[in-house]
Amino acid sequence: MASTADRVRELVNSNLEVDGKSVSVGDDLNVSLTSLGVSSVDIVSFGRLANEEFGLSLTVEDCANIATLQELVDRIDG
Amino acid sequence: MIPVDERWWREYRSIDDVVVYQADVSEDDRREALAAHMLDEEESERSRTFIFPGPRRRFVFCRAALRSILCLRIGCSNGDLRFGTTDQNKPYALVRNEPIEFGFNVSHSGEYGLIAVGKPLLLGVDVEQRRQRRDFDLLISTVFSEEERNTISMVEAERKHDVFFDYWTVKEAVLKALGLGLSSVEPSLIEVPQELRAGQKSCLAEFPKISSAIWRIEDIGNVAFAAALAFKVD
Repeated sequence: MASTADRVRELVNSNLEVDGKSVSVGDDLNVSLTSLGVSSVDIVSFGRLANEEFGLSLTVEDCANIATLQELVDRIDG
Repeated sequence: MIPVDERWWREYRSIDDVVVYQADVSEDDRREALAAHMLDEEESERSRTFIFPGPRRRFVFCRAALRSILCLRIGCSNGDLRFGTTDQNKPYALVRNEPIEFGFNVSHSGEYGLIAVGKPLLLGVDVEQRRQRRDFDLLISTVFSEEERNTISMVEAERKHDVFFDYWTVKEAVLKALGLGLSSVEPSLIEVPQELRAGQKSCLAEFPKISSAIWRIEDIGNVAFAAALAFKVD
């Protein structure tokens, strides 16, 4: 079974785009959505997708407060 | 100072005491090098945190343009100007360590950058390049109030994405004017004023769930991008 980190990476790489190109996040998940350059609309959308994928109930505020993808992984696994 | 014929920004709109400039953020290596040279060490460091070239370029072009616009307005040199952010991430500017006495705000999306500068200290601008998304319905249910959702439900399907971005930029512009972000306020608490939902381009509005002030809201978008300007009215 895929790890949480792999599933988060896949969720990002399959759903987020910057300048019309899919985002490609590598092994290091200590990156923020801001550093990827995704828009605030994308951050909200990503939060909803994460809710569906992992059965979370992240609010818009929660999504905006997640500093890095690793932090999201830790939250899911925690 | 950047010579007039080499500037990558131009005045886009002027509303009361606020001027909105549009920056050309398209790829141009020579111009980007010129812009990057204007940034201080902290800004250069920030630009390096962007993983992809597009977002980095937009930040560099807009920040350098903001620097030039402020220097011209204040009559200071680029080296005298320094930026910081409040605890809530609202940017502020200092000239020789003194706060400047007017507001400014920057937004960029895709091929477009907007920079608003004006007398009101509480001033926010937001731009979103218009584009199709697969998840509009999901987003609409997440960020809009019931009243806004009702209005959108009456919009014909092909215009729905335009209206989504129009409303979104209003919410973001108000949040940015207040120095708040999505991290502190649910966007549905800022309801797009009824006048704008009815098709007006400008109105005075209150947002009692987050602020006691009266705000001027301007829809400054066009066919290519949605954009809104919000500033506090004295």
